[in-house]
Amino acid sequence: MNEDERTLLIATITEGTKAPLDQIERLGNRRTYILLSAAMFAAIEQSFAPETTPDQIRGYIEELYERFPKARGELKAEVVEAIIRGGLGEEELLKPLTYEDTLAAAHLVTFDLMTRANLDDAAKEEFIREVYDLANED
Amino acid sequence: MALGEVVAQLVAVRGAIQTAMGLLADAGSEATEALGKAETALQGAAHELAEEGLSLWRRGETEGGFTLQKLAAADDALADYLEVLSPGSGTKSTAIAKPTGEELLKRRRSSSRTRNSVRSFIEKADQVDDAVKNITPSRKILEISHPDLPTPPPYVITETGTRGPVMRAPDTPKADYAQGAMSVVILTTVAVVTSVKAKDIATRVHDRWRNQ
Repeated sequence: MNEDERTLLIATITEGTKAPLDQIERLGNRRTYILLSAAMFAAIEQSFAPETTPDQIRGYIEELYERFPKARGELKAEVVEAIIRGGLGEEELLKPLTYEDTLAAAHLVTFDLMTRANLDDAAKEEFIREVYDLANED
Repeated sequence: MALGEVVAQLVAVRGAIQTAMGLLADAGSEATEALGKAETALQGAAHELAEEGLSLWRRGETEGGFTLQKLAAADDALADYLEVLSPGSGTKSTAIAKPTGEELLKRRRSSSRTRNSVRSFIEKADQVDDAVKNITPSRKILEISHPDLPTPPPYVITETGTRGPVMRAPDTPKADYAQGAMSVVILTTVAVVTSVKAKDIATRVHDRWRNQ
């Protein structure tokens, strides 16, 4: 894992850090998307029980919009619902989604879930290592 | 095999054992592979600690499969043997301490469900053209999660896909219609005067020619 990848992931799970724009520019949109997607699904697995209902997921999305009102314009509720349900096992919901649909969620859902989790440094390192492994699986 | 090589191989082997301990679900294949390497590394070693480590390891494989306790016992014996070969190389530091059961649970790998989801998104990454360095979509989201993001300078995407500052032409003065009208009047006057003068000159030349 290089320093840009680590900085990107730390900034994505930690409130009050510098926005990782330079890192994204150097890593490229493709690598950034892969890392953030891995982080998002790892965060979903840690945050939602497998038996979470669609209603509970919609409740979470409302909380997300309350925390980040501007997210309503960038993040479609139905896309976030499909991603979370897909991450919990309904994989067929993920197939129709495009890169453009999901980029905002990869940033913001990860940021929201992981900053709520308020991990200590060791847990962050553990999470980052897990994300890196997921992103590099064949 | 040279002593240094043996030490290096055993240090690597211990790393493999500890990986196996961390990933207990997959420990069988990991530990069997590491055991094969250890058999090679310790070929001909007559020391009792080496024999003990290998013996514990083999027993782990044959008697009911590997468990954390069996792997830890084998690892301890090999660490002691490394200390004999090269003091300091077999240290049982906290950095390589055996994980507790709770730590092992924490270290569990993501579920196959999560791995499949990530894989499907990695396929979507093929839709991304990295030749175009456009990070504007990410920036818009980061403005939400990182509100102290500074306002960017204006940028344009060039044909080669690199970013460059916007080049603006110097400000051009606004049209002054009054001045324009005056210019038209002056030019018209000059044209009329010139035309009259030209006609006058032509008449005088013509008269002079007729009088000759």
